[in-house]
Amino acid sequence: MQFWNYLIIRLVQAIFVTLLVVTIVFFVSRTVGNPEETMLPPLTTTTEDKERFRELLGLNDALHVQYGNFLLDLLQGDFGTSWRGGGTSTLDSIGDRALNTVKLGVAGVVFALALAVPLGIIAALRRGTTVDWLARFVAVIGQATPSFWLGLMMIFFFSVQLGWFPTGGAKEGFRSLILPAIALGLFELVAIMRLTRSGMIEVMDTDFVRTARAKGLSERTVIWRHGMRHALLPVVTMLGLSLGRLIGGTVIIEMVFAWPGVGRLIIDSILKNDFPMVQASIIVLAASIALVNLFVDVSYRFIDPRIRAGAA
Amino acid sequence: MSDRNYWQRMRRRQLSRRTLLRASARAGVGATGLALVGCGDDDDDAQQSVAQAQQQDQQQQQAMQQQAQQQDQQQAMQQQGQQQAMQQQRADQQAQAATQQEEVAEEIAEGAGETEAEWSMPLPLDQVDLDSEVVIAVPSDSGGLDHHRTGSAQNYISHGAVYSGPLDRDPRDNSMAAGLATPEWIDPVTLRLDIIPAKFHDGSTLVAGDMVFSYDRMGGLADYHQGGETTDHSGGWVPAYPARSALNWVRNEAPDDRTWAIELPAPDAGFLTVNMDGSGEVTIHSQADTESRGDLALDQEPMGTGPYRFVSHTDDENFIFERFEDHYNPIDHPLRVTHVPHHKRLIGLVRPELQSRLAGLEAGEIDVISEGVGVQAAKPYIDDPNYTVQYQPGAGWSVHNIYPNLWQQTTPDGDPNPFLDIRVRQAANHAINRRAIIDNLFLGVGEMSMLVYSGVPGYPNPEQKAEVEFDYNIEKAKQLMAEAGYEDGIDVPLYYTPDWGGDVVADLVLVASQDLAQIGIRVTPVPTLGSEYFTPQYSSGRDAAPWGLYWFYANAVPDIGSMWECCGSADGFFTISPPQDPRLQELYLAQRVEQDPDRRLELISELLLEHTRQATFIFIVEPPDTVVTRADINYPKGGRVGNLNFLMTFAIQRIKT
Repeated sequence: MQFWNYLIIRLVQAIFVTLLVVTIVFFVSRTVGNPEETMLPPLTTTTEDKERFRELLGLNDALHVQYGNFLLDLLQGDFGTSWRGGGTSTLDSIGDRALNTVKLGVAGVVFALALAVPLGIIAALRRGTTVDWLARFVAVIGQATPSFWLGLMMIFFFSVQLGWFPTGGAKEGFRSLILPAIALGLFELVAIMRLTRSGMIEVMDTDFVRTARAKGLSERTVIWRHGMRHALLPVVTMLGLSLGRLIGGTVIIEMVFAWPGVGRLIIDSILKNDFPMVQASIIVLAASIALVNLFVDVSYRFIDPRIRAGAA
Repeated sequence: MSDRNYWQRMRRRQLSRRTLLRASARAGVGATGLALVGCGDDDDDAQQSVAQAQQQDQQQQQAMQQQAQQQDQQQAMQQQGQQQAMQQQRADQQAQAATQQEEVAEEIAEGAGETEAEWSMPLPLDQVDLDSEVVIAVPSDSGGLDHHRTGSAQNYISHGAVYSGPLDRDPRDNSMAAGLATPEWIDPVTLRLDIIPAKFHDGSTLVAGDMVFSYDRMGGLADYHQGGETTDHSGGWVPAYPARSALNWVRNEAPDDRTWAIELPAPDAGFLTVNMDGSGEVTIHSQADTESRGDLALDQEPMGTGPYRFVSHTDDENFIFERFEDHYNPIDHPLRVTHVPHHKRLIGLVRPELQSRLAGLEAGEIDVISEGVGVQAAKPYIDDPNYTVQYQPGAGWSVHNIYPNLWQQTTPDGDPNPFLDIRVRQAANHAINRRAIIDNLFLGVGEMSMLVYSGVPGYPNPEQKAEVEFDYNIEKAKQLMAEAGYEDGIDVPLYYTPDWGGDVVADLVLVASQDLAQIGIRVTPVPTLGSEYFTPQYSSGRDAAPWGLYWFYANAVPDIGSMWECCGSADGFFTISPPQDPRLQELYLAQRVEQDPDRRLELISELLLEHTRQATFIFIVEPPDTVVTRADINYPKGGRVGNLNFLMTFAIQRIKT
């Protein structure tokens, strides 16, 4: 029962956070931009044209009225229609892009995880050796390198010089995904690797690991069954946060690699003052991040017995 | 003092993209080494090994640099050989083309008086790979493809691809040529057009009723979505240019299938050039198709009479078009107005970042970049035999001027507005070192700007323009300032928006500020958001705009009318510097009613010259539009077509290898 209470509280919190974010976006966007200035041709549109345009979009209503209408529509599941071309509703447009962004985010996490955990463990177990030094070298490179710069460098070397991957876009499927996923995932790789390494170093010095060794367990069992389980607890938390960060933070990578995701859509919509699209995109992003965090919180209860015990 | 000099700072910043990338790569390695020294874990003592690693890195870099230098030398020799061979090959091709198309060349030379440099000839068809695919980089995608609809009208690539306007535009001088229609003025307000039986992509035949329908739809007058209320488009339907509604014509009808008649409310000789080419929102749709499929389908799958048939559009990724064989002008049509494309497939690849577009070009994924390449970005490709770089007047914000607010009679301090004195404006014009701007920022390509971009029909010829150009003369400028009583100078804000015109605007603002400071016009640049740049005057009335200088951005327009009526005349809703001499407005009105095309161009020319003579603006520069293509592409140098580049995609040729 306590679990369900906990879940409900966290869900309400997630909804509240999402709503708060969207409210901020709603008011801020309306104070910094005029859609008629960006969507109508600047030098050939008369004042009357602009007035007519604002009237059609409902922008002449008071802000609180616009906000009330927006919330009412939202409650009915209507996220609005983009003022951009194409004729699709905001949710339809986001749906296509969200899939691409999730693909990129997940690929980034998978890339980070696949390298970070083994590297972190090896570095911890061979602390002070060349392997450890190399792992930390990679870590520092990853942390010191801005993703847009890394992206451009990778395009220059792997796409232009070597011709291994396309320079941008998503049309070549998996091949198109590799470079942006690496550029996106490198920072997370570093963070996870360092976390794994320090966690393993800490765990391997604990009494219970010493006891396990004293009992005569093989080193493999000690590492995988006792060390890993404890060292990876913070990594799981980190993983959830990383996924949220990656989904919400792909904007620059999507621009550099011309990847058709939500990040690019948001930038484009902000530049065009396409308020419905900005709002809907932010709702989707904020909700996804809130949900991922919720999922991590819940899963943590199952992974870490101490939290279950504490809750009980 | 030297640190404050803009040009010295700028020269230090002039790095090619490749240099920058290489330097970045090296800097990245160095920074990583430094970071390693400073960011190691606390539980380690690895500084010594880090230092060793750095040393090794440096040694490796030195070795690599030496190797790279040797390779560069070898490559340079090879490239020189290749370049000579390719130049010879191209020269042969050009010579052959010139011979085979002598008649056309003569016509061009006689008709427009332009040199070969301004007008590149198409190659004979037997040298062209007619089955090829051409990929153009497109910086943005606005979503829809219905050019009559606001929000969809900005996908320029399909303007001249899928659709046609009633008339074609001759790229030599931007004059109008017969296309779907042949116009004839019956009287100063009545236009009669004969309509050809062109084919739509669905096989149906164009009739005059389609012209009437398209113009009513363009103006938001079509019955089926009057006021946008009955449209099936989920995003609503607002005409792209609401101003061009009933105000532009009082009668629009089709007496029969082959005759279309338009009656204007007042004489307007510019109606053909402003409202009849295939740019902007002026596109001809099939009435039957539009009414049967609806607005939404048309926005997603356009259908017209243009040189390409629409194949597909993936939002923010690409546009795909295929050659329309039944276009009304055959593939060997002699003039470079619309004809059956010289390649089979056209792809527009959406790439928002310039670096990504250039990388795509270098990797062979993109053949043409015709938008958003400044001359500095194109610099590394100029001498590279794998690419072709060419300049032509104006895409985007192609004219840079400063216009002083002449509505305010006084400054905020209550002093008389100094810019109302023509001597102060003349002094400011003499203080701008345009040669330095053109040489340093635009690699020597560009010219002094006027009110409109140089592709507008009626733009003065070079000799005429030279007579009114302001030379760079600081002494004269100081003398004029002194005569006007401003020896001690003026403090004035300069409003501009970095959002428009690309990165170069910030540079231009700095340079202009520095130049003006030499004669005591002390400028304080005030950056403003693009979306709010015109808001003060729009919201409060143009004469409520704060006193000061404003950066004037002008894009390539097809006729003087649209620019004068927005920003030049005293009635223009964005006019900051109204003409101080009524003769300018008289000249504008005279050209509007002038039915003789040659006389009309003379009047426009005189208007532009007089506007310059009176130093109405502080004229800065008209930089070129830069196009970079792969070497096997013969790009149609558009002459004066300017930002109507996308009307010329049909003429792009891939040379057989």
